Amino acid sequence: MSGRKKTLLKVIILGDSGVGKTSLMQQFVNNKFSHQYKATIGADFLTKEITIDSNKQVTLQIWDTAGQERFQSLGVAFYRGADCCVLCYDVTNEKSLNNLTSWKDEFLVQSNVSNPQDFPFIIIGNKIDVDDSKKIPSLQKKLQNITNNQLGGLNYPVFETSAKDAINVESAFEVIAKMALQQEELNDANGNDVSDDYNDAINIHLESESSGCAC
Amino acid sequence: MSARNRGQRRTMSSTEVELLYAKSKVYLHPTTSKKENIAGFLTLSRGLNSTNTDILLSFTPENSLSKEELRAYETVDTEDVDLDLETLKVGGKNNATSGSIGTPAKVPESRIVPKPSASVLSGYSFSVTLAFIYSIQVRNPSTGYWYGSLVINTKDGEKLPIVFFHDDESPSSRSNQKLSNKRFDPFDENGQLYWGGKDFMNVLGKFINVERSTVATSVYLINPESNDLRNFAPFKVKDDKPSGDIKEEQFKLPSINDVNKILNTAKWKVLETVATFSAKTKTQVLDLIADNAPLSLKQIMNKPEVQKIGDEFDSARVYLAKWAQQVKEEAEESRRKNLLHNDIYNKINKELGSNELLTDEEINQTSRRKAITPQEWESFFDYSGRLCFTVDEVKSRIFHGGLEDSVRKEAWLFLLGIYPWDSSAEERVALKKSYETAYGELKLRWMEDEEKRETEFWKDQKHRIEKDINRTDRHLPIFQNPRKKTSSTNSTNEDGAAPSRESSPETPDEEDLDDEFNISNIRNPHLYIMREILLTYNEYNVNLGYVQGMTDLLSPLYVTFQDESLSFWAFSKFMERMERNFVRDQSGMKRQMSTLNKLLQFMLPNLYKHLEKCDSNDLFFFFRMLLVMFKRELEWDQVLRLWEILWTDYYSSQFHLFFALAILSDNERIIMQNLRQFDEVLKYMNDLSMKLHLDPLLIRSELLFLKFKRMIDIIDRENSLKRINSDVYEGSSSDSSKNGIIEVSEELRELVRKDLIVQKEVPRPEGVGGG
Repeated sequence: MSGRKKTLLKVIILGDSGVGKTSLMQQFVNNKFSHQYKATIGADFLTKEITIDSNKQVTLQIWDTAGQERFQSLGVAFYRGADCCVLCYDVTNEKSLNNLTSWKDEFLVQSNVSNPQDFPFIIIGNKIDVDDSKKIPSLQKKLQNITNNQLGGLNYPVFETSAKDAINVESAFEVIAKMALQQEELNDANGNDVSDDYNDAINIHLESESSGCAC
Repeated sequence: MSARNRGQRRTMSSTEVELLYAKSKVYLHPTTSKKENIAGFLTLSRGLNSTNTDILLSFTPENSLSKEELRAYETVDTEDVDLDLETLKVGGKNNATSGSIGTPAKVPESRIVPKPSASVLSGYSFSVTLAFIYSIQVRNPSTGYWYGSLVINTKDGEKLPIVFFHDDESPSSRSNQKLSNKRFDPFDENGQLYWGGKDFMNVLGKFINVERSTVATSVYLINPESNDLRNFAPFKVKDDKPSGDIKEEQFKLPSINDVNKILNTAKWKVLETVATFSAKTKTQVLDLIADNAPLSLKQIMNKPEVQKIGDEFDSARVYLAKWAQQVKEEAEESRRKNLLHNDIYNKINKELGSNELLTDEEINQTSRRKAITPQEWESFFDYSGRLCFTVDEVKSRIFHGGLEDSVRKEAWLFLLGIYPWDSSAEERVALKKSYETAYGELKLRWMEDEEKRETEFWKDQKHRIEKDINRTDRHLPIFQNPRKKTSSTNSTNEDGAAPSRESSPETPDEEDLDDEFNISNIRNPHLYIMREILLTYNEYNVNLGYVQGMTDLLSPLYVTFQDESLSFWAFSKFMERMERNFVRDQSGMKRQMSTLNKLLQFMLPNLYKHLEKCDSNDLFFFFRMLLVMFKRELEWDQVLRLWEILWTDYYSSQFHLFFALAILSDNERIIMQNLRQFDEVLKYMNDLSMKLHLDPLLIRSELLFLKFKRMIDIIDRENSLKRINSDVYEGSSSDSSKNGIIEVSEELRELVRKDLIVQKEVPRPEGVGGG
């Protein structure tokens, strides 16, 4: 490997169908919002370069996934090498909140990460722009109950966002990036560099003239 | 009248025909063994009151004829040698194609024979009317084949047994050859030697319009419809307009001009000249693109055409791949604009190497035709509304051309099995009524069951349906919400719901959707009906229920029918073939991906190996394409077209897998030259969405299918030969690998099945939700 190396951080967004995973990603990467995003089928990703701690350049590769559970079993290939996992719920949909645990468990089973105990997860409650009357009653209590009891009492960062009105989206992803970078460095230190391939993928050799496939 | 005396005349009976032409010593070669060749007569004959298109083209084995019949046939064979054919052409040249009633009341008795048998019982005779013949491929005698032969293709896509002309045994051919030698003119105007097949084609041309294909010059279309000539790309009159100039301005890549030059010069030679030349053409097109790639990446990234591709950041190689794809796209687009359909067509052919395995005729069949108009659709039915063509004929027509939008409303009901193909108009009216009644009853089941509607499962499913309905195809005018006043942010809407929030100035069109989060409040009546349909389906197919993706499948049906009960039943029928995509354990999807994987290995092994290196051989990028039948990959109109084509099951009920393969094959070079990672491949494939061009892909799919089928046939033939050999020489060894038997997996064999592969969902286990 030669030249300037950029760090690629892989982030997976999970959560029930319709909580706003695609909207969060679109708002963060493209600063736009639409009511008309179709239900995601399969998986797709967008990338965005950001600077963290005012000097570190990283590229976030954000994976958007399908929300219906049965579609998870096929598309686990992209879980591999994840540096951070975002668990999303909809603040107006209690069921989506209750399902956070199963999304986390599912991810750990499928991704086969080396440090399930301290793998970085972050929780995002989306749609806070919606009228208060429609929100889950005593949400904070319920959320605490879930993080304390079901999610293992770990201090996962929690954000409440509106992808529609771009509230808290930027700051949530900033935290995501920092957590992902830590995980990545941890992996590097452990020599468990599963994402090395991915770094190579965006490692732009400005001098290199070769473009053909070596195979 | 001819001066020749043809003896007595009499009127024929309905079981008799007048022999117009007979060629003796025409053989079928059913096996490679000479001993098993079947000698017979190739004849043209006509019955009572028949028009020229009713003339029968028949092959009659010698041994099926009585002594008298044989004599009559032989007489006609030799008589034709110097017979003035003009006198046979009753009705004159002008009527050669229009098919006026031409048989005279009385015909020479010596020419009257029993009607040739079309029966397959005798095995080797055949008899078809000229109207039923689609084309004839003329294969001149050559050192390789020695005997010249004709390959006759009928309109239903069948190939009749190939007829070989053993001119050295045929009295008429021998004397004709002598005659032309005597005239010191053994060659005709095209410089070709006289032979029996040519003789036959000359005579045929006197009775019916025979058009030589401009591309595959050995192929003659028999009485082609004007539609065929106009729309049948390979037969189109050549368009000599230069194609390179316009596009060069928009796209500053001088090499593209060269590509067009190559293609222009290649265009009319490709099919006839040596294979090496065409192979070169094939690689040149893509190499020129590739040659442009090794510019420094920075330069490429700065190109406006690259920036146009997308705003988001991609890895460098995905950029390159997309850039190459755009170059290819623009080159093809420009050719499309200039009506140089043949270029694209030939290019696909050459790329796939179709000519090595398929006959010209098979290749020509794969052209796209014009969509079926309401008038044409009407003409398929008789006065009682019953189909007067075979189902296969209609399906072939739909498969190759699709339907005009106004035809879909009715035709789709046949394709989806709502209406039987053999029903009459009256029966269909009754059927439609009973479908309505049945739907009404199904719907009442959940509407009247309050208890059911209170269950967790029901509420979950309803929530899913409403959420997805709200975000399906909302760009279509039919699904847009009725506009309402937006002047005051404090006003409540007519349903008394909460005040709508202020819409941002950037999204002025979305204010109507502002109460989206109240998804039970669907204001668009069409969306509401779709919701009812899916809620009913959720009860109707209770094991499966509603699963994400189904709204994508329903919406084109609903938009087409705009009728609640018909849309419901059409959807249920469509779901029969799609159910396996949605089952809980995803086994149906896994199975198809695995089949596709095997198919890819079989057909495009190099690409497969490359994808393996990219960790992409799970073909996950096909998931979305397969799950909703390319609904997300194609523009709306093209989705409708593709679906009706797939519903014909014309070649196979699994044709969608060949379409998927065609997409991959179309991008083979770009993928192999540019992409190296799982994420790169996925991104590239995902982003092909809405950039696909249906017709070239359909041609490619069809050729891939035909090639696949031929490969399987060849393997089977080889295997059976090997089995025979090993039986003879090594006794009965069951060890197939020892005998060099090539195994073809069941999964691959399933790909030629025409019946649906149906996989039903199992009952929902206790406590499991609908997710």
